[in-house]
Amino acid sequence: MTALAPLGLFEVLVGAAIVTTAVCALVLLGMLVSDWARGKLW
Amino acid sequence: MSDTVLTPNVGFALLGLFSAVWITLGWYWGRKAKSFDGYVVAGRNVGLALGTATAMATWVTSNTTMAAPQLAFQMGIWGMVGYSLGSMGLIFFAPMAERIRTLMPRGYTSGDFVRLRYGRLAWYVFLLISTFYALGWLISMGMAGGILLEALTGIDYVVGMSVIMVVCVIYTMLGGLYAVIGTDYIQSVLILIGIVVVAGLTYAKIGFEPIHEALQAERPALLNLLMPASLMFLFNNLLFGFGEIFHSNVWWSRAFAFREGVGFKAYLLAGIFWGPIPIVAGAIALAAPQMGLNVPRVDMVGPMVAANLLGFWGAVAIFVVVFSSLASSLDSLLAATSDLIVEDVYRKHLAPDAGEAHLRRASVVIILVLGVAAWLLCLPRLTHLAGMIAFTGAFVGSTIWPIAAGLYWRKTNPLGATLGMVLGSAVGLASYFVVGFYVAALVGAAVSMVVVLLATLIAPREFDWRRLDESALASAPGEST
Repeated sequence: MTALAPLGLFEVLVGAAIVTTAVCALVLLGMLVSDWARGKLW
Repeated sequence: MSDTVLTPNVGFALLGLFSAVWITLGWYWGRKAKSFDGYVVAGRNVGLALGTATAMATWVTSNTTMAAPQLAFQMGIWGMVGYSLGSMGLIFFAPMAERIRTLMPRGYTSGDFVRLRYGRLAWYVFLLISTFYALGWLISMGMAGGILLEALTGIDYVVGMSVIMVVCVIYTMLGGLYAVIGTDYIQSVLILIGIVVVAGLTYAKIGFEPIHEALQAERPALLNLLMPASLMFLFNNLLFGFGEIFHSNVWWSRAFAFREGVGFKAYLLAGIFWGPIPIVAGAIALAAPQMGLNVPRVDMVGPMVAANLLGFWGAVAIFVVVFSSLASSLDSLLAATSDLIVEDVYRKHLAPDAGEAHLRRASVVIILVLGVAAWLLCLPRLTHLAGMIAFTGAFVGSTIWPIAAGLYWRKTNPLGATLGMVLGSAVGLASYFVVGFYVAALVGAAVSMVVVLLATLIAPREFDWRRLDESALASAPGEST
């Protein structure tokens, strides 16, 4: 039994994963600056 | 043409550069780790940014960045999505981390919890399982380091494995959990940026449509959404992840180290940040059919796509991602396993009166001993030893229920928890040999669940949660029940 993923689904899956990962990197950098500014790094 | 994506000279230059950075930072942050608490739980004051990054980076092993592309190349979309479900372990551990920090504000290890919650018999069984798993993971990471460096750069296996082990041992010894968490932050940023750049450029250069068309024409199975056979693997992977995270001191030591109120958010965010990584890493491999690449070694499909499409810098990016993935897991394992041995074996059995300075010195020695032992076991390159990590699925699966029920269910029967771990491991192991690796964690967890539930329903036991706070009990004896 087969049901191939259409182009749209493939684009959404891979595209969303790449964008989410990029956003996560930015958020992680922002969190570090925020913690550092509030003296809450460790 | 060489069959590696980088030359040994470039490999040595990168190894030297990153080794110098990690060791310098380990020494720098290690200056904060003067006390035993500082050394093993980073002063119990780690903030959200560092907490999130260390949980995420530790869960990104070399498997995530190398085996995810391989899995995508073999199992297609389900392979990537199935792998990304590993993030559920982190997400489900989030409320547990907060509860652990609240119930055990001065705790050190997951062994402490099992001893205080269930007694000595369960503790010994748990220590056996936990140490076996930690050694399995340590050896598989050490061997993966040597094998991956050899495949990427042509550096001899023994040399590459030795350099990675020595570097991780040195900076972990120098700085304890401070060094581990600090370097984990940088490694997590390198992993995220590296993988986004490689995958982003791959899809920007080729385009989604040509890659999808080539997959449809040449490897349609990789786009198939109906693969019932892979569902068993998917659920086994999910439970393996739960078992690994719920029981391992790698994750408990962080729960103790995070500042109050940080544990839940840090583990939740780490799970969300980790989730897309196997999909991004896997997506790189899916470009191979469109590029007409001949892939002689399926585990090298990710680096091959990066190097062929993006040239020298693509290969460098993959090297940095893989090296960061290895280091972020190896250092955490060395530190957390050393904590377990120092606290649960050395302090509790051999030196009950040892002071802070004594225990801190013992931690340093045990990290070194662990590193040397792992190095010796990795030296002969017995690849079946690396497979030991899959073998541990039955054992870690059997700990899920004793840990989760012990944390939330006051009436959990201690003998039931002990039997759950023993029978879950035994039956899970039997299923590993009779059925296959993909059911071991599933069976181990199911048997353990039945045993823990039945024992507790038949013979419920009361437990006073205050007994988990050993330091409060020591200062106010007689208050607990």
